[in-house]
Amino acid sequence: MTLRQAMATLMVALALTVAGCGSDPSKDANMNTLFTELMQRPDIQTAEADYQDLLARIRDKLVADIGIERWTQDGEPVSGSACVGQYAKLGADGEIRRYSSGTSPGNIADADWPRAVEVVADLAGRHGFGEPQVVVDRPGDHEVSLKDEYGAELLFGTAVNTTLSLSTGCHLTREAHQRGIPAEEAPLY
Amino acid sequence: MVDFAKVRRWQPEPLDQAEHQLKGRSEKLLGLADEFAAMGTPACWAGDAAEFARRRRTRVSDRMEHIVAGVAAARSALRNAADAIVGLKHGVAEADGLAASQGFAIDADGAIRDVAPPSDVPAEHADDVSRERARIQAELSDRVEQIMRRAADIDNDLATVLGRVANGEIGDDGATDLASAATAGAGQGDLSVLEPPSGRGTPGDNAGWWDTLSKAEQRRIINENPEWIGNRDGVPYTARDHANRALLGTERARLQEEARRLEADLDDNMFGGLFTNDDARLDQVREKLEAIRTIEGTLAKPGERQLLLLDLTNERAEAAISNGNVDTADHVAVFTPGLTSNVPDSMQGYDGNMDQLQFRTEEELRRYGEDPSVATVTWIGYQAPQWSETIIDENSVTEDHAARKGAEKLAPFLQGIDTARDTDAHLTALGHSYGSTTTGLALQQNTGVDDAVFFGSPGLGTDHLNEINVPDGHATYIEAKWDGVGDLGHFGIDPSHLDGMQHGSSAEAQHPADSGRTLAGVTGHSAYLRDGSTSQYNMSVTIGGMSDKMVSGNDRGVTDVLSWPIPGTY
Repeated sequence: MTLRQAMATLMVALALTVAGCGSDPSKDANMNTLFTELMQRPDIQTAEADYQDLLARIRDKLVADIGIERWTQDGEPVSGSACVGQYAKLGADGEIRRYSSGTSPGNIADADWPRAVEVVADLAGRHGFGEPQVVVDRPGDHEVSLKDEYGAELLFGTAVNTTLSLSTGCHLTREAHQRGIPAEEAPLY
Repeated sequence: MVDFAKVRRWQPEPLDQAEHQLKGRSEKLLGLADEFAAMGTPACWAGDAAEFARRRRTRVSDRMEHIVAGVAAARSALRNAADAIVGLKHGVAEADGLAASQGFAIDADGAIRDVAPPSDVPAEHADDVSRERARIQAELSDRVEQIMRRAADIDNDLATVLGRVANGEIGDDGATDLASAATAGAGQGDLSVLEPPSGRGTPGDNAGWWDTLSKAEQRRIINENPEWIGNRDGVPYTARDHANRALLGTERARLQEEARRLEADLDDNMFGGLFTNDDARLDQVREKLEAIRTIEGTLAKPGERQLLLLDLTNERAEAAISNGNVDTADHVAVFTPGLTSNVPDSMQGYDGNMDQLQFRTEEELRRYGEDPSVATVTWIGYQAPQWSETIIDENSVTEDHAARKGAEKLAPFLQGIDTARDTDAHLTALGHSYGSTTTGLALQQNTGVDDAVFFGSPGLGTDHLNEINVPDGHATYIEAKWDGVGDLGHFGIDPSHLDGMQHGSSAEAQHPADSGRTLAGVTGHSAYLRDGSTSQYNMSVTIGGMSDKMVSGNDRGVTDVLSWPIPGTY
């Protein structure tokens, strides 16, 4: 190893140690603890049914009460992935899903926006979501975020179009939930 | 040899007509065969004359069987050649269409001329335009080369079959009736499927080759030779996805067999792996089996995904998975991670980050009235340095060896995205940490990338931003507080100090100030992709082609001051 390599190695190691490279410190949480925590939540399929029901009711009520255009789906309505952050170590047992409502063409007028937020907050509140937090609030461009106890985030906004989407927190798959303990590693061969 | 102008005029219809004529004659012959057989030898006829007649009839029958076999071979070859010419014409149309849309002409001899370069290009964009035109011209040249290779292949194959028919070399495989002879002959009229360009091929070569194949030939390659196209840049990603998924099963079976054999060898050896490499090899095989399991788990998650790359030939598995369809998305982003990234440990997590990024970008596009069509790619297509290699390995994170090798593969992967598509994507390259060095080196080639976002970078492999080939003002650097890696300036100067670099914030922000979007700040080296963060938002608006909405900011700390390069020394 050259002197330059040694110096560089030292610098990189030092920098990465200080910066915490590789993973969030929170990832060090114990796998079993995380699994037990998620056992208290509904499995992802149950959660999905509830969230989709909520989104459908919000969409319908916004059309009925605020008079926005009907919603049009323009892409994949559902995507999902393994959990990220501290729950990433659950691997295949954990899952996050993301739901798009597509768009309701057109903008909600500034004067109608507070009433629209009320509609969303009322229905979401009954599903365990907290108070809406302002993400953007300026003329012609508004967005609020509502979160629930499982880390789900509901985003409702309007600019050129009106949008409504939801990302779940981390939930166990139904199979993992029924199993009740972390999956044992299946043999590779 | 024919020239490009003649190939351009090739039509499948005359071959189809010839095949129809042969079909008519063949059916007539088959009909006569029934009559001929019915004539037979009268039951009451015996003696020398009867025997002579019987032998004569047998000879005629044999001769007819050979003729029918030959005709069937010719028909089959003509039919296949007509199909192949349909594919060839598609390849020609792709090349002509690209040339016409970009102001180029393809001459009769296949030479490419720049006939309508854009006028009134502002001086500051002249290099960008020149680079883009050079890329298109090179692609056209490669496509023409492949079209001519394909034309020669069709010509040779058809001539070979017809020559064998003319010389009576088509056998009837011992057929005893004309229908069997026809079947035997038809099988000898198959044309070969043209193999891909040698080596890795340029994206233009590969796209040119693929576009000249008929749909049937393309399906045959996916089913029978998926390894030809799985990693072949320039071939559409939907086809690559089908091929790579098909390879997962066969590769797993092969690796499982190898693992069992190595384990048995180690068990039989009293010294274990002390004097062989079997134990190290077994570890590698296990890592690849774990990689396949991770890939399958990732692909099984909800939403459209494509397995764009699968390479199990190196020490560690390499793969790339997209969220969304890379062939059709308006906006495509390719993320290259850095130190310690590998498929078994990193793919699922980064795929989650990329799924979030795609989701955020699409929602942002929807709100602002744009078409929400986005694909994000996790590209672990190189041997990223691992901790075990830090000190003595040539793949060490302290050296740029792995980044340079990675850039050799990342650059054509990026080039292949626009090349494989009818219309170019808005293409963004994302690079984190050592992956930003790999990305920086790749972008020193002509990739067609429109925007680049580097974050937490130890250097881009250059001291000068004009060596990064993206349009002026479209290279962005994001660095968080307490990210020491971002201040190393080990592979070129600290990107914080590159002249012309745009700076995206990673700090907590309201954008625009007071009434704008609320975004979370991040610190350290590993949180740039955190959902809801300023850095993630900056990436999403860049990916969506809305970089005017980016939160600018240069979150410099004291180490950035220390890393400031001395003017004139770089």
